[in-house]
Amino acid sequence: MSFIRFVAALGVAIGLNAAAVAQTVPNLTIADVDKVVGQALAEAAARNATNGAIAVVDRVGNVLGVYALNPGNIPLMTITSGRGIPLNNGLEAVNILPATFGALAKAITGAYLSSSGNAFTTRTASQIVQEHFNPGERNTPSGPLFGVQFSQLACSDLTRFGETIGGGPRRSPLGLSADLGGLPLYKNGQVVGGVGVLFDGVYGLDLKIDDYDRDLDELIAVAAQQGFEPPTDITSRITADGKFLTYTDVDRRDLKTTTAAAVNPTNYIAVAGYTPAGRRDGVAFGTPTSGVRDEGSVDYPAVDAWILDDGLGNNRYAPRAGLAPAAAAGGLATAEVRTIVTEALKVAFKSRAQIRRPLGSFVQVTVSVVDTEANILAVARTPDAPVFGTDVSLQKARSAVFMSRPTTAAELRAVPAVTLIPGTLSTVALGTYVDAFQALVGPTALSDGKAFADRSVGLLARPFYPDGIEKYANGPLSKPFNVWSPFNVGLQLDLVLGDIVARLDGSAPPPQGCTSLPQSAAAGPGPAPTRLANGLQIFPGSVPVYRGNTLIGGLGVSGDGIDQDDMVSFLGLHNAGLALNSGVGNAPKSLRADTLKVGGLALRYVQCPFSPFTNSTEQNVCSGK
Amino acid sequence: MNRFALAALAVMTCAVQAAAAASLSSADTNLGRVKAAVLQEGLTVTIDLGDDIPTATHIIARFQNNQPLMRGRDGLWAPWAGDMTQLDEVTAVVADKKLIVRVLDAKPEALFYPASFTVVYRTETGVKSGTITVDGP
Repeated sequence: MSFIRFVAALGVAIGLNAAAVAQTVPNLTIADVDKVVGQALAEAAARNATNGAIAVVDRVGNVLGVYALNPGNIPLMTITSGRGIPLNNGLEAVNILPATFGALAKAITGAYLSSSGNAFTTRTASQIVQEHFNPGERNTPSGPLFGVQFSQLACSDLTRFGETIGGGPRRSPLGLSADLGGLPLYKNGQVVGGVGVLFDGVYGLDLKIDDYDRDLDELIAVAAQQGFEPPTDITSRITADGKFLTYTDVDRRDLKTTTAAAVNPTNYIAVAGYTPAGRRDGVAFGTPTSGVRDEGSVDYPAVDAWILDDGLGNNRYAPRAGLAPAAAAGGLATAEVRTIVTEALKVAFKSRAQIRRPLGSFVQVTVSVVDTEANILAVARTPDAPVFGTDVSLQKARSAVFMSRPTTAAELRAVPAVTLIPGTLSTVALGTYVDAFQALVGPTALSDGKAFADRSVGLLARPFYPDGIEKYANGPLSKPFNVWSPFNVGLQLDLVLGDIVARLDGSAPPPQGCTSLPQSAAAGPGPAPTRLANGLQIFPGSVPVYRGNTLIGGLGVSGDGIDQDDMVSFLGLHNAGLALNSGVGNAPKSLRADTLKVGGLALRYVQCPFSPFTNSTEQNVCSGK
Repeated sequence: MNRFALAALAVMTCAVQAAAAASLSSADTNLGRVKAAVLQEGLTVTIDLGDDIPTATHIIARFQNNQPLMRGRDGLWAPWAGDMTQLDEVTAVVADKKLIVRVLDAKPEALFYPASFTVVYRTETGVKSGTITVDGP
């Protein structure tokens, strides 16, 4: 027997950055929550909607209250695209989940997709995640944010968990929602949260954009939002690919009520893993408490960077050196990570935003850097970047790395088919996607080290390849269109469906994050992150990072238009390479996926916008690089 | 800065709450999950050594940002880059073929949940580890 010391460590007070705490922005209060809920209740009563759920969240996803009309009888909802796809196809036709989950996902979507420059709703989400953009316009490409619904997952290693109110971003039980009835909430032109309602028993989407719906959930949500509307200029005047992004189909003139009904405080129920009973104040975005704050020129003095705060004044993801490979073995050094983030943000600040008003605003995004085993090396953002891009930028960075690794085919083949609920929920063996991928792309694909940007990955994950052309079959990472929907996309969902189901009981995320893919060996024993620890993402905005011919990491960007996200990642990394002169940069041209002929067509790598900068008329800014 | 911030997981007491004995493995044994609510007096892990004779013991932690931290000789958590040779040795008690490792001396700050703690020991022939996860609240 031996006895040895155990050293006591005492807590140390943490000095907060003065600039960070000086941010004064509005927040939602308990009175605001009651008003929002009361207005929803009044409209619901006027429309004879007798049972349902209302959720209110703040901008970083703290749940401020979940109100059930009948706490003893919370209704279930049916997840459906409305295309008649039966059970055992992803989440399609699942009818065992409570309406509270749908309301929560919708509220988070309204809050996370919006900013001071754009107000988006779940109707906007519905418009941009389907097989065509616009939905119903045949033979047009898929929605620009195709796949974004499977972000902010409950298994994510990035989203925060464990406090009633604290820093974000927080997780969502079903990811982001395309079901009508989720809106952002604003005060003084700044997004402070979101409201989501589910009364109609269906968690779906809008297949037909060229009509004007009178959707029950959307009507109730618009009523709930009274007094917390966004400025008109940032609602329905934003375009993508020349098409207006829809905000809602209804407005105040369609409502039957203008005042709030009384709320019963005991109807604010607990949702395991998301909120205790009762309601509470939200946090003010930009304060350390919110988990998002000004970086204070510590690591990024050349740009107005914001970062994620751990609640104690620390940057959760301050730049650090890669673990795999280690810096000493040619991996990213801390200074290189810092430069990559800085140069990417510089590109954002000088570029013209696609989805923000007023015109001429600069791009607002989040930037994430990872090493080759998904270890997070840095996360930083512009001040008003929409919150959804935090998790998504990391997904994109990891996705580019994962699909560029030579071990990917073998690692996917090792994941077997799983029956989660017999007759209801199951996944296929992931090797089936590898088979399809290699049949289309080539026998060595996903094992030969070809460099895939997320745009390249995404084009192979659409229900038609080439994208949107209906006479062709699905891409190899997608389900066939007869069973495809935003609730049954293919590899992206099959990687995380088990995680989604396992966390529906509200349990904590696994420390290693989502998926059963291998974990980082370089991070040592224990629950190091899996290859896709917050899930695969399949829309553009990331590139793998190389030193010479060697893959050493990934850079992901999310928050503006997809061409802007592509440009910030590709050009940011290119400029960082010039600044560093250490061999770091984009993949050699010969390694890039756009050298592949897939189905007779050259695959895309990235696509940068025309005349992208606000201070010059420069064109073709990515060409030749 | 993280080094000091994480010292908020301060050692406040020497009370012991023993978890069930389990064996570690080279493939990292899952030691299960515990609720933070039961950790008011800290967390102690008891390891069944079998015939193993530890030559060094280490503790690795991962909080919500999943970045690995090692328990330093001074008892503070410090960033760790994954190099096993750089792990600081921590103290532990060996008795009756059991290794008793004091992982936490106080309930961790709520904002760190879920947190995972990996206990590692070396023998003459290799490295074995196991991980316990603390969920909140």
